Amino acid sequence: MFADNWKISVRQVRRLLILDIFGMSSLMLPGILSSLTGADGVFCLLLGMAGGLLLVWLMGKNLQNMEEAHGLTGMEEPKRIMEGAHGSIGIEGAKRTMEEAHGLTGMEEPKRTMEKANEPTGIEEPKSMGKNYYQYMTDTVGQLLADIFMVFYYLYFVSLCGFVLYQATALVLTWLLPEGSYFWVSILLLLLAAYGTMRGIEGRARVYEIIFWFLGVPLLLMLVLALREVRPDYWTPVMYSGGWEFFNGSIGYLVFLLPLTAVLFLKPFCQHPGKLASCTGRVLVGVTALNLLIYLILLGVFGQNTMGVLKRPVITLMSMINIPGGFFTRQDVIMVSVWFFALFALMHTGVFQSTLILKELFQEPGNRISMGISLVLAFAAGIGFFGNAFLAEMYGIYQKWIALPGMAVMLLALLLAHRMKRQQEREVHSDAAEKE
Amino acid sequence: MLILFYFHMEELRGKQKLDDGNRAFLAGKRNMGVSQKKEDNMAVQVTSDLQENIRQFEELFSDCADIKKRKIKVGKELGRECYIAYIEVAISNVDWKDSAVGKLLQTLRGLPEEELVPYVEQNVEDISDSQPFGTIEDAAQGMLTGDALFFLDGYAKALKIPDKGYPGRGVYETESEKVIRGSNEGFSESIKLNTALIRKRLRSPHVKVKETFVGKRTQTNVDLVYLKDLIHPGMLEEIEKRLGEFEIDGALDSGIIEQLTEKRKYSPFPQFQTTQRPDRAAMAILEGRIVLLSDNSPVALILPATYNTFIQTSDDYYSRWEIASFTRMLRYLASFLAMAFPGLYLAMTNFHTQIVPTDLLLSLAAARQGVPFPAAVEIVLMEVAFELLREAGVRLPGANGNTIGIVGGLIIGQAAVDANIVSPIVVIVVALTALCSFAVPNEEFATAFRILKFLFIFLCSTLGFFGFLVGMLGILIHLSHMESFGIPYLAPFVGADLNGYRDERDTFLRLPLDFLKKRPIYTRDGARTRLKLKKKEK
Repeated sequence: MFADNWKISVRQVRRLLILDIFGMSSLMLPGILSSLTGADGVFCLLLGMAGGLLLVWLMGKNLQNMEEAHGLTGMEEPKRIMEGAHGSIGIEGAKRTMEEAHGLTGMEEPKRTMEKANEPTGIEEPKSMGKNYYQYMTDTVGQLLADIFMVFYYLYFVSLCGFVLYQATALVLTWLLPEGSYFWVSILLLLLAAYGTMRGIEGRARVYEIIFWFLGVPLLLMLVLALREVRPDYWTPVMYSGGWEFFNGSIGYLVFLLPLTAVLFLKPFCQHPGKLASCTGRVLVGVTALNLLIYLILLGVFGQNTMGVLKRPVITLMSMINIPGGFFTRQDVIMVSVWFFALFALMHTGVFQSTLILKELFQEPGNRISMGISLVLAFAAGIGFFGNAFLAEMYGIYQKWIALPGMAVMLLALLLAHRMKRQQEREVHSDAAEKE
Repeated sequence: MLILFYFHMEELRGKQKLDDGNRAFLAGKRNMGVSQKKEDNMAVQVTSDLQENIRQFEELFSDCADIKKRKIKVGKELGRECYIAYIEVAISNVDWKDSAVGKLLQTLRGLPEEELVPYVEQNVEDISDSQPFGTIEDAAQGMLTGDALFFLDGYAKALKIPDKGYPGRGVYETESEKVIRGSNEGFSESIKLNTALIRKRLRSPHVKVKETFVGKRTQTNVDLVYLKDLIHPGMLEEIEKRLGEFEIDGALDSGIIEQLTEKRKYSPFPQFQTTQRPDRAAMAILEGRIVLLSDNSPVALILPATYNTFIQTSDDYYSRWEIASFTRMLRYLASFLAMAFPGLYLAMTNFHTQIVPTDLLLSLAAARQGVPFPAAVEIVLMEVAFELLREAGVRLPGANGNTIGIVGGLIIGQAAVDANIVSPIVVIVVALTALCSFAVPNEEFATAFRILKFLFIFLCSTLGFFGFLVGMLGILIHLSHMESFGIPYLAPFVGADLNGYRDERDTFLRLPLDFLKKRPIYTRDGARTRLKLKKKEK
């Protein structure tokens, strides 16, 4: 009745994205940045954020084009559709349409929801209120290029899923289960991700919506407590690193922001597609602020040299914080759950996105085959990263020099192609008008 | 081939009959009265020939010693015969003058014979709850509801005359869902009494009671009680549809209906809220939810249900908000610990001893000295023993149940510790877990945590804290996908935007009533205001 299995709210999108980019960036980035740039890492984060905002701007423009291609913008979309269906006008109509856009449509809804509840259909076509990203790409740059772009995205998301699976498993094996088997832990995690993906996006969004504060509050509390240990003199010297390291660090942060591109595929699933870009921008700024805080605390506690050699300094920090009058002597085991859930969220995104892309590419009616293929590939990639450090290094290079520029170029190309197409249409239109 | 074809046709016919039954359910008709007759094609009309009616009726109720059948002469001259049948204890036959049947007979004895039938037709058919039947089967069904059946020679109908009905318990205090503040009335086994208890609290013409019958042989009366102007029409349609989706021979309790109408049959979490309290049911109806009452069951089902509704109690709203919020938070914590506490203890002591302060760790180790079993086995032993005690305590009569608690809790527990079978800390862990499960207000909901507790014990004893995280994630994913009649099970923690984030004011915290001006999401849109504060005069 109210639940609409294929629509998620802006709050859900926001929390999903925060967990997606916060987990990996806060876990890995401080060590990398510190070894590259020391205290200048703060500026790398800011520059990376600026680059990220540029990327979000490109995404926002393309999202806007997707809606324009359908002749609708932002909130008008559901409103107009519902008005068309009900013939409602004025305040009452608008009020109703807003509620109905939330899925409060009375008689029909429960039936549909109930029926859906029985079908393990996974990633189905959402109620279409406009073009999805693939259709938009096809219309803008043609079928062949659109397919190539989709394959590019697929490779990115499936390899991301494999890499995050490797990282999550390594985290578990390092901090929680030192004698565990990589094979079984990663299988267990993938099965959980598959279970989450099977029932669609809404269930997935709800998981992260609910755990958001359960993770956020303890983390903020621990960070506040860690402030006592900070030595501000470790924050200097600044402007000390070389240009290449600085650039490398900034690009490094930008790489961690790339999962935000999943937003492009979320448009048909979002209740308010018009707010996606601004929501993504806010997430980017918020997570950067949190990363800055963590980086400054870590730098102030460990200093540049120590932090440079720590693999996951933020978790080491958690093990050092003493809660005044606290019961536990070490909180790292408990706080690992924050990064465990965040990494799982990102891995889940990888599985979901890659399944969605494959499903669209091959027009699969269900999603089991697409998901199966994606899971197997992700697992293989994870095993590869675990067994071969060179592969993990290569993955870093791929992310920096292929995935990141590739994404930017694709978005730019789509934007330009759309403009050219619009221009041509306008010329044709004006020619026709002149002839008339 | 022919045999196969025959069986196929039989199967198709069976399906057709089932469909007929479902349609009858949806129309709110008696399933048996309609579909059974269609099946057997044996509806016998009541005729004006009394002897024929008696023959048919007694054939139907042969070998039924509990059913009393009497032939009585009526009319001034006592020249006309009538026939009365009833279930022995359901009619006040000691003093007939006080009963409706007795008064009717007295009146009929004072009338000339030719006026008997017109009198019955014109005066008796219209009196409260009496009902004429055209067939012997319908009449028999009417009598089985606990009323008397009256046949009169020359009158081609059978008349159901109401009386006290089947014996019942009356209104008693509820055994479960005790409250500190609020009404102590509880539902009983009589559905009529239960609907009256709700109506006593909701004196509005908008309160509707929709009646259906479930059970081919039990003909159990099922009432759907709701406020017409508050519910989503789709919700009523949905529950009616689900009630029509099965045909069962008997539904002796609402629990059977619950199991047959819920969608996630393999989930340990209930999808209906249950209550034995009329005030809780009335409160739910005021929120735009539907209460399903089943005859012979003191347990009402409330739909839709969410995690949050299972944690709420009636006196949350009768007590001040600070107390209500505090106890609410305790219950949330209890629901978590009832499931996870033994598992967390195992993970902490077996895998992650570094998080425990050294002194405590040493005392834990000292307490375990001499215990021959691993901690996981200890926990499982004690948990199983506790579940056995609980089961035994439930089945035994009141005083003996208490004895079991003392014997189990004190003597066996102490003896087990003294004998070094378990360590004292494990007894504490199991006892605390049990306390937590008792603090969850809804028994069915608490049972889900009791079952999942064993899953967590397994996961944590094999995978440590990672097992706990995996278990939590799995349950979260499961609950996130669950819905009860279209409402997310985790609402309003998820999807709170659907009702403008207002429902979050009644979750962990129960904010002051001034803040709860709007009804929750279950209510039909446009009817969500439940509190208006009048402006104070300066």
